[in-house]
Amino acid sequence: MIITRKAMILALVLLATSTVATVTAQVGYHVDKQRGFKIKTPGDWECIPIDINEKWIVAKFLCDRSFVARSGDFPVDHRPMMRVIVFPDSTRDEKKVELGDAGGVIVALFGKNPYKDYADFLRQTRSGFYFSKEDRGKIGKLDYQDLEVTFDKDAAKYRLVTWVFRTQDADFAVEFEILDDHFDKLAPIARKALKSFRFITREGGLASGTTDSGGIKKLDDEDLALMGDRKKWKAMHAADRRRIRKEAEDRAVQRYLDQLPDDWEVLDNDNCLVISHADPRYTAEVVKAVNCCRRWLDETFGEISDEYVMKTIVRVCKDYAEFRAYSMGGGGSIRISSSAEIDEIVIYKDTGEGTRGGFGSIFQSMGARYLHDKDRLIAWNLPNWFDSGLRNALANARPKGSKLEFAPDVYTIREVKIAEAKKELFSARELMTMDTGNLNDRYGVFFGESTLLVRYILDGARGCRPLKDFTTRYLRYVLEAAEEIDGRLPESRPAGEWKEPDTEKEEEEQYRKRRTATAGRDDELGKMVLEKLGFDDKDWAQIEKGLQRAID
Amino acid sequence: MLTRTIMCRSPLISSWLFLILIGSILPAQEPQDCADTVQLVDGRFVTGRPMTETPAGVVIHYEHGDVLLKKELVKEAFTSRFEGVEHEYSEEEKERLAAGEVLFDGKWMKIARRDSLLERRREKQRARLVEAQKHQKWRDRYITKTKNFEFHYTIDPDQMEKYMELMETYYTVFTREWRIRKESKAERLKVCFYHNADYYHQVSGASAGVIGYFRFVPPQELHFYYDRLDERMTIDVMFHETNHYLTQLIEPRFAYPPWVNESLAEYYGASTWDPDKKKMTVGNIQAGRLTVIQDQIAGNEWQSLEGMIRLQHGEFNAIHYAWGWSFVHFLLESKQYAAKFKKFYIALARERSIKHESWNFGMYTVNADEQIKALLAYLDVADLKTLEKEWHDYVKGLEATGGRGYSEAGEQVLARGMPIKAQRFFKTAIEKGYETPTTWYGLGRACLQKEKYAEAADAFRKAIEGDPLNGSFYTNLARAISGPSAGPKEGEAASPTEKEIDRLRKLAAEIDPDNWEVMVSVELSGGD
Repeated sequence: MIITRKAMILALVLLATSTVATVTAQVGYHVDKQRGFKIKTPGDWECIPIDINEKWIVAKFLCDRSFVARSGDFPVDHRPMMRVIVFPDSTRDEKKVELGDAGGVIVALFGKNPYKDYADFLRQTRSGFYFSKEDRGKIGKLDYQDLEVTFDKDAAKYRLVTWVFRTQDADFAVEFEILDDHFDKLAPIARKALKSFRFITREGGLASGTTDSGGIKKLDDEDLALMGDRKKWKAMHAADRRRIRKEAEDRAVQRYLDQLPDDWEVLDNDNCLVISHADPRYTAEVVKAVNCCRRWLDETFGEISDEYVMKTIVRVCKDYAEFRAYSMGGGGSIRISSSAEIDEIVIYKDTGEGTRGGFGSIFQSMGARYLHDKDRLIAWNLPNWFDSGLRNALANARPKGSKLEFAPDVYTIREVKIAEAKKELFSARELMTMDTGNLNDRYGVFFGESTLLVRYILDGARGCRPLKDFTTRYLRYVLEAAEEIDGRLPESRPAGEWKEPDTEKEEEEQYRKRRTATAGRDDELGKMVLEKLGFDDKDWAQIEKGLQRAID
Repeated sequence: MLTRTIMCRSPLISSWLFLILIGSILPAQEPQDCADTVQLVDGRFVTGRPMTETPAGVVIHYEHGDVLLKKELVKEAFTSRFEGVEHEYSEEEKERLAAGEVLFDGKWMKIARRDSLLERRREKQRARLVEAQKHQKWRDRYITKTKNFEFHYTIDPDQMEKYMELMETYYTVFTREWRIRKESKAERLKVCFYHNADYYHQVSGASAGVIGYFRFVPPQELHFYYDRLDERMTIDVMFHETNHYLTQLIEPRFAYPPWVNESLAEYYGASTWDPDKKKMTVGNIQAGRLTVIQDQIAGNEWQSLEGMIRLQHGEFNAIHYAWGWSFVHFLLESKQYAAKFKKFYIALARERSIKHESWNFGMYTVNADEQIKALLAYLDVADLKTLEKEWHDYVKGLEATGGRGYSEAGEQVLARGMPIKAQRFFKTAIEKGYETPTTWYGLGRACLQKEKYAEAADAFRKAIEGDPLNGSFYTNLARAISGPSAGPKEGEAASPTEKEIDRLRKLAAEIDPDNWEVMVSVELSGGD
C-alpha cells in the first residue's frame, strides 16, 4: 500500500488536534513553544528534520545556497548550517551508566547522559578542533557564552560560531557552521540571527525525539530480554514471535510518521517506509528498488527460517548537504543489539552517482538486515566468502523491471584477472573453507573471486548441478555448524568441567586450547558445512568449472 | 602549635621554607573551594576542592576521604590551609615570638610584613597556575622554534625542554648515521605535542587507536601526546613518528612501502636517550611487539616475508608492525646485513635502476616485485625463503629485557587470560626497578583474578601511592578488600570493612567522575 503525503497529513490532523503545538510560525522566526525559545533564522534557510532517536538537537537549518572553500587540499562545497542543541540540567543528574539484563548477560549501557555541556558535546561528537574564542556577552538581560571553534584538519577549514544561553534549568546552544574562507561575510549573518534569540514561555518538556510514542522499549522489557536470548526466543511459537516483531515494527514506523516534516513525502507499503525530500520521480525509483530487492531476498532466503523480517525504512535526502546535516546527530539513544532494532537507511540523491546515492548501499543494508532477522546466528557466522561475496554483489546490483540484476564490478574483475594471469587464483574449495585471518596480502583476490562465485550462484549457477538451489541449503548448514561449534566452546561447558589452572603451564595449555578453538573457527565452520553438503570429487570438478565460468 | 610551610616554584620541589609560630597563631583559614589549585608534574590540574599543604605534600579533601599527593608529584600548589611540624625554641626565639615577631624566609619580622609577603607570593603562585592552565588551550599554546622544528605544545615548558632537546638530538644522530640532508629550502617541521590523549584526539582529529601521526603532504605536521602513565610510550611514539619525517628527507616525493617504512620506525621507536650523557641508544627490544610475535608463534602463525612485503597501504596492521619490527631488528643488528640494508633503504627511493611507479599526491613508489628484487640484490641473498628462515630463527632467540619489557609482557598475557604468568612478569618488572603505578595496578589485577586478595590490595595501594588520582585504582582496591564477600545482607548494618569499601568507591567517583570503569563499578555495587 502506498500512502501519499496528502492522505498522511489528513490522518495526522486528527492526531494533532489534541497535542501541544510544538513549533509555530512567526514570520521569519523559528518558534519552539514546547521548549520555550524562538530565533529568527537567516533568510530562506531550510528546516532539516531531526532523527527520531535524537535527544539533544532540537532544530536544524541549512542555508539555501552553497559556498566553495578553495584554500584547502581541493575545492569543497559547503552549505552553512544552524543547529539548536539543548542540555537540560536534569539529565546531568541522571546516571551515566545503567545496567540491564539481556538474556542472563549483564549489559552496561553507556551514553544515557553523555554530555555535561556544549563543550563536552563537541568533544564527543566531533574531532579536529579547538576553541579559538571563549568570551561572554549580553543581549539586554540575557547573558550568553560567545564561542568560536576552529576546525583545521578537514579538507576545508571551517568554524563554528556558537552562543550558549542559560535558562533556569538548561543550556541552549545555538551553533552556526561556516567555511573559514567565507567567515567575514557569513559570521555577521550568523551573529544577527543569534542576537534575535529569546526565551519564551515554555509549554512542554525539553527532550528531543518522540519519546512518547513508544518506540524501542527499555532493556529490561520482557520482550527484548527474550529477543536478546536466542534460545528463549526460538522456543516461542512462530505466531508469537511474528506478533512481537510486527508490534516493534509498528511502533518504530509510528515514531517516524510522528516526526514527518512538512515538505517531505512518505510512501508506506508492506516492504518499506520511504520518507523523501527528493523529487517524486527519484522517490518512486527508490520505492521500486526496495520492493524489487525485498522480493529477491524473500525468494532467495525466505525459506531459511520462519522468522518475520521487518520492513525497510529509507530516508531520502535531496542532496549531500542535507544528508550531512541530517546525519550529524548528538546521539544519546540507547541502542540494543538485538532483533528489536529497526534503523532507517539514509541516502541522498547523488547526481554524481556516489555510493550513497545509488541503490547499492540500500541493498547491502537490506541483505544484512534480512539475514539477521531470519536468524542472527547466520548473520554472525556467515563464512567470509559468502558474506563478502553477497555484500559486494548487492552493492553492485541494479533493479531491472521487477528483478534484481547483478551487474559486473570493474574493480573486482580487474583484481581477479590479474591474479589469473599470475596463476594465483584460489580454488572454489579453498574459498569456501579458508580462514581469512592471515590473508591480508591476498585478500583482494579472495574478495574478487568470492564475489564472482556468489554472483554465479545467485544467478542460478548455470551448468553446475551441485550449486543449483544452493543458498538455502548452505545457510541452514551454516546455522547447524555454528550451533555445534558454540556447543563445544569451554564457556558453554557445564560448570565443573572447566578447571581453574594452578600453574603457569596449565594456564598456557588452556590458553592454547582456547586459542585453537577460536582461531580456526572460520576454517572449521567452512569444513563442517561442506561435509554436510556432501560434495564428492565429481561435484567439486563441476564447481571449479563453474567458478572458472564465473571468472570468464 | 601550628607551622606553615611555603613551597617554592621549581620543576621538582626542592626546598621547603618553614615558618614557626608560637603564641600568636594565624587563624586557620576557611577553605576557599574555588581558589585551591594544585598542578602536578605530569601536567594535570585539580581545582575546586579544599586542600592543605603539608611537609609530605598536598592533601586534597574530598567528601569521601583525603588524598595525599606526595611532594614529588606536585609542581605547584595554591592552598588555603597548611600543616607542619613542631619545633623546640631557644630563649632568644621565644623572646622574639613574645615580641610579636615571626620567622619567615630565614628572617625575623613583624606578622603584618610576613602576611604581606605571603600574600604577594600566593598571588604570584596563583597567577602562574592560571597561566599554566591557560596554555593548555590550543589557541594559547606555546610555540618554540629550534634548529629543525617548530614546536606547538600545551605541556609545561619545563617538561617540553627535554623533548625538544631529544628531537634535535635524534635529528642529528639519524641524519648523520644515514647520511641524509634536508633540502635547503625546506622549512622547520611543525610538531604538535598535546598534554594528554583526549586533547590530542580532539585537536589533531586522529581517530581512536592512532597514538601519533606524521602528515607527509603539505602542510607537513607531526602529532603526538604526553602519556603521563607511560612516559616511555610518549618517547616511543615520538621516535617512531619523527622517523617517518626523517626518512622522507631521503626523497620527499617517494612513498616508502608500508612494511619497511613502519618497521624501521618501530626499530627506532625503541631508542633510549640518556639526558646526562646526551647519548642515544638504538636497537632495543620492543617488548610489547615481541610478546605479540611470541603469541603468534605459540599458535604456529609465522609471518611470511614475501607476504609482508606485498602488503598494501592500509593492510599493514598491528601484527605486521610486530613482525616488521623484528625483521628490521634482525637486519640492523646483524653485522652481515646492517650496512647493506641501509643501502637498500636509500636505494629504494633514489636508485634509478629500480623501477618506480606513480602513487598518490604526486608521489612515486616501487611495487613489490621490484622491492624483492632489490632486497635480494642489496643483501646478497639467493632467495626470500633463505632470508625468511634466518629471520625466524633470530626471532626465536629474542627475549624481553628490562623492567618495562616485563611490564608490557605482563599486560599482554593478562589480556589473554593468563594471570599466573602475568604475576610473574609484573613482579619481575618491579624487581628490575620498574615500579610504575600501572605495573603495580597490573599486578593487583592479576592477583585479583587468582583471588589473592591481600596481595592484590597491597599492589593497588602501591599504585595509588604513585598516582593518587586514578579512580580505577580505588575501585579495584575496594574489590580486593571486599574479597569474596557480597556485601551486607538486607537489614544488617555494614561492617567497618564494608563501609571502607563503599567509601573507596565513592571516593573514586569523586576523583575520577568521567571514568567509565569507575561508573560501572559504582553501579554494580548499587552505589549512587
